[in-house]
Amino acid sequence: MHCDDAARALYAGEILPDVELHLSACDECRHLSDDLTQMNRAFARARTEWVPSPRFRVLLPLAPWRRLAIAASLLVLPLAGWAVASVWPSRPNYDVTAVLEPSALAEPSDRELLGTLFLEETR
Amino acid sequence: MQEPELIRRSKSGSREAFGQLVGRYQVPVYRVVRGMLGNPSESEDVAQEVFLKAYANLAKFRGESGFFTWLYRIAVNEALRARKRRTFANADALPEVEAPPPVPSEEDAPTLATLEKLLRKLSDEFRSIVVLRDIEGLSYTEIAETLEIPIGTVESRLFRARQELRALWRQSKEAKNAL
Repeated sequence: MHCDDAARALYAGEILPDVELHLSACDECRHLSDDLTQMNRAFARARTEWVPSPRFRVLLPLAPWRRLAIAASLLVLPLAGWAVASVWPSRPNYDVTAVLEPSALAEPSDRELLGTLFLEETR
Repeated sequence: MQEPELIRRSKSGSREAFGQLVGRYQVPVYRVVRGMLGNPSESEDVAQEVFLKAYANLAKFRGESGFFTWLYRIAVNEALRARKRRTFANADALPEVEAPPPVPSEEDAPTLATLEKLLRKLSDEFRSIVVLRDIEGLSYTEIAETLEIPIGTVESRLFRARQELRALWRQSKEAKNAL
């Protein structure tokens, strides 16, 4: 067997009896065979070790109807809030003076002030 | 559930069915992209894009080829697109790979980091065919379907790709021995 034929068979991954025989007599082709074997080991290692990280997750987009539903809810919520706020009875505007007794608002007279002072002094 | 049924349900809008297809193929798709790009985190992003693209274009899948060859085709194309984007953005300035510590090898086989470096030196055509055949183990027919090329081209391209890969590896070994 010629080296070219052996190389072609080796690159194609074919192990024929003729090739085996050739390899036993040809150093160059044996080197090629060894190199290919070692490369195949590296490929095999890649097959087992090249895996995505455990946190890898494929995230699919939402279905169109779900996207519509989310968009609609985003639009509806503020509208509903606004509608409720406009219908809700507003808080009464209390007039404090109307609730308090008139006497509490009236300023103390001079007599009342003098009376208070007198009482404090005698205490 | 059988794959054709999952595909049929996915086509009629079942996210759950498509999720199961994703579960079946996320590792091989990631591996193809990783072989093409050589960067683990970028490969996850691109694998994600592959599935999004597949999901969006599921209606176009007519079942003339296998589902996984269709998916691999998207993976190869997306990886090539990502490489172009990276070249365009001058990503050579970025760190190449999160290089794993070299595993001592009794058999003197290339480490995974070396393999990634060697694959990066191949042309896109050669790299994709080596990844599909030698890492994913696809048959010539499946590779022909995936890459949309004749089987004869698969054979000759694979032969030349392996030749070049071996030559690159010898160079790398000689350079290492010279140190």
